[in-house]
Amino acid sequence: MDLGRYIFKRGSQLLPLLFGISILAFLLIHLSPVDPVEACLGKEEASLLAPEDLAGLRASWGLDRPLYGQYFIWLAHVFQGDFGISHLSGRPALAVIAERIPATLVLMGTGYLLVVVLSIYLGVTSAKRQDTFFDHTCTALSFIFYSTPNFWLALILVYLFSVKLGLLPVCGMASPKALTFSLPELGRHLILPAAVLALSTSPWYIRFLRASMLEVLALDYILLARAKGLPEKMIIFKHALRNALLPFLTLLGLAFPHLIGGAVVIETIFAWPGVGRLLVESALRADYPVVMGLTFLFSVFVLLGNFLADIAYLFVDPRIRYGGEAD
Amino acid sequence: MKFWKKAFYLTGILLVILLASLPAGCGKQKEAATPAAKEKVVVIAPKYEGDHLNPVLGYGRYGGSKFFNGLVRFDENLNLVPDLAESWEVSPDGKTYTFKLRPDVKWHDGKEFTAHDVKFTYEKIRDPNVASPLKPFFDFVEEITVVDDHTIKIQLSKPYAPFLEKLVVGIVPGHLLEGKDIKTAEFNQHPVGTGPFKFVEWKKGEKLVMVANQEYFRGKPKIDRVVVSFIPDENTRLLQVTKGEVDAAFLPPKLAAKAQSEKIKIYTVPTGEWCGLGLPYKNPLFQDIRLRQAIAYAIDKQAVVDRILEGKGEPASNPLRSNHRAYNPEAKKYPYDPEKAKALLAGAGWRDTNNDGVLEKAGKPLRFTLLYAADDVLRKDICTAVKTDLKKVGVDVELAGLSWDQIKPRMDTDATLFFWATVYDVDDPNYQIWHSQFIGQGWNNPACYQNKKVDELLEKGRATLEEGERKKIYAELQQILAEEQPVVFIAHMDHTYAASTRIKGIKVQPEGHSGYLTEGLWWNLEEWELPE
Repeated sequence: MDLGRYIFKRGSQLLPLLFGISILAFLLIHLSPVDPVEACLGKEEASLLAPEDLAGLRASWGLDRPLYGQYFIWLAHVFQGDFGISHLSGRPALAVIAERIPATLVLMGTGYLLVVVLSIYLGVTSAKRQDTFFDHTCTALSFIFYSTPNFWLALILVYLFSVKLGLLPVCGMASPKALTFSLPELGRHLILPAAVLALSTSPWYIRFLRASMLEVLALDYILLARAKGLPEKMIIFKHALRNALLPFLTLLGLAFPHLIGGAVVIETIFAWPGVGRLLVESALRADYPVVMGLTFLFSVFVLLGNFLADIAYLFVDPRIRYGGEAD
Repeated sequence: MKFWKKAFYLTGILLVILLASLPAGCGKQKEAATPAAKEKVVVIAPKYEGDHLNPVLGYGRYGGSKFFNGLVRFDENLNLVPDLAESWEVSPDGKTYTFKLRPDVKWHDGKEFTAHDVKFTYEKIRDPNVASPLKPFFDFVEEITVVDDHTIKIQLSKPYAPFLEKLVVGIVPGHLLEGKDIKTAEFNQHPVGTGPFKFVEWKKGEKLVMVANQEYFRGKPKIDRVVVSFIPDENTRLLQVTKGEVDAAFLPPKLAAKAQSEKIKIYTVPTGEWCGLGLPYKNPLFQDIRLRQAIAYAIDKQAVVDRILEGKGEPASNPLRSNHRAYNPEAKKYPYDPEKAKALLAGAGWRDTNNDGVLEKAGKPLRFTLLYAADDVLRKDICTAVKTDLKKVGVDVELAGLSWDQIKPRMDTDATLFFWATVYDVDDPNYQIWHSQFIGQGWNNPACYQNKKVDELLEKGRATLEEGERKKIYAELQQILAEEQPVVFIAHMDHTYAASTRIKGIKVQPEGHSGYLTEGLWWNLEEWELPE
């Protein structure tokens, strides 16, 4: 099997998965006891409207149809690139989501890069220097950050770096008074939220990579490499890390849900105008089209993460060649 | 080294994708966003962002909408004064309203404002397909007639005293919305009005920018540009104010106190909001008036105000606050008196026969469940205080923090902590809360209260136009509600705001429980000043 066919085969499995996820998400959203009309208009306002007006509003949102009917109409529209109209703002759900994606991509992308860099550097170094002061400090800090709630960490870092030291801005993507976009300004605003995202997500990966490296370093072929007199750097990076990275890559693919979960909280605290915040606001007020659109988007992200992890396997493990055949 | 080369290229590609996505989301700037040299800019941070900016769909239903004007508006003391209407006449039978409109008003796009826009707006509010939350207030409208370009006549089917107050809602331009679906129109996100500020941009979740309308008919605002910053987390809002990034912000009392400094002043805004225990009549336990009054005496309301509301509020015994123009100071009050509460309970036959600290009658303990919205810490604190106070007089309360959707099916039978607000006309929302015709209809009349005299007074109140006569009607209503305590009223609340001392011209106007850009400290943004 060639590379193209392998990618196609692996990629084609994503569609049925997405289909399944969409059914599940649709059912779960409709299990919520929140009444979308009340959530949109407000309790008091909805109470004042006549029952026929409320019924009319429900019908205009398609909520008067049976659940399976609602789902198939939604699905048919999705195939045409239409995720419906947001109940709250009356705008296309896709437009509502699209304008918030860049902010989240910047935050999550930076956070993700930091997680990868921190995990590989600290995981490998800790394993290399097992039971040294560095290793113990790294372990202790990993546990501290792992067990610290991210919202608390965010508030503490803001207090320290923004309020006490005055080095970094408190929140947002730019100063409210700024009228034009500036990259350095965005960078300054990005440091704290991205750091919180990375600090609260990476400990788990650092610990995992350290354990994985230690396991590999104890194998016979490493002993052989050392006996051959290969340089330590080559042993660690070329021979040990490559094998230790295999399970790590799968985990990194799964880091997307962690990061999205983290982004929901972090975007709220740092007033970061991304999709995480949008998801919470839309879910609390039962804006079905937006919630479904976001669930769909996040599912695509997670599945793509896994897909990319699988593809990355091909680069790091020569034994895996398009369908598990060893060469 | 092949692996590292590949890793290097992959990282590079990721970085490029990341940076490429930046200008798409952050770089768009409209021409109007270009700053003038020494512009006076104010950054404000309300509690909520809102979903749209269209008055027909409920934006600025109590006025203060920045981009729009109503026919009338509220002044600092909530008196109705002319806005787009120069003057008006009400027929003696209270059914015909004739408004003379200002001839000098232009829309932000330069077109002339006329009576046709008024008719268009009200017709849209009345349109069942729009399902406007304001529709119930326009149900009595029979006919709207454009007499000439600057005169409009509204015919009601019966007198409805609060009607004039409903006309604070902003008028929208017919020429931009005619033939469009008003629920989904792009206009709702990019409004064009007659108001003191012109819309510039709205970056969702981040900020809304507006600039002074140079041709505003009441004179151009004194600040050039207002940036509304949306910061959902209260602690972050506090930090932004203390750092000077935000000039004024909505903050809960505890946090506002922390912001106070030489540079930041705290404003306390009285609200018409009250909290109280709904004790539904459908539950036989709550049908005895002595039990309800005993509960009212047993709760230390002053302690709730002092400790939970940080002193920002006042104890309540009826739905109207002492600053409301229809307030009746003679209505019965319930100062903290646990002994009186015990006596009332004893009179109702409740005795602690087994010495467990809980009263009993016919072998049944005096015990009930109190529901509250679990997502609100304030409600939890108030309920905990109620539980502690009632325990002292032998009433056992079990607290249940639930979501509103879980509360809804139970509130006809279980005690529930409610927040409601009477800020403007007494009719809104008291007509819906106490009138027996609303029993079992959603959130209306949650106490399932039934009193013929009260129904009669509520009907009379909305049909009577003479202010003095109305005041007497509502004074009697307050007396009955205070006596019977269908809801045990606990406290009226204040809102707190922190604002830079540089800002002059801030005036405090009582508000409801909104938290949006249109009310509270922001109501007169066009009068704010930033001296050099």
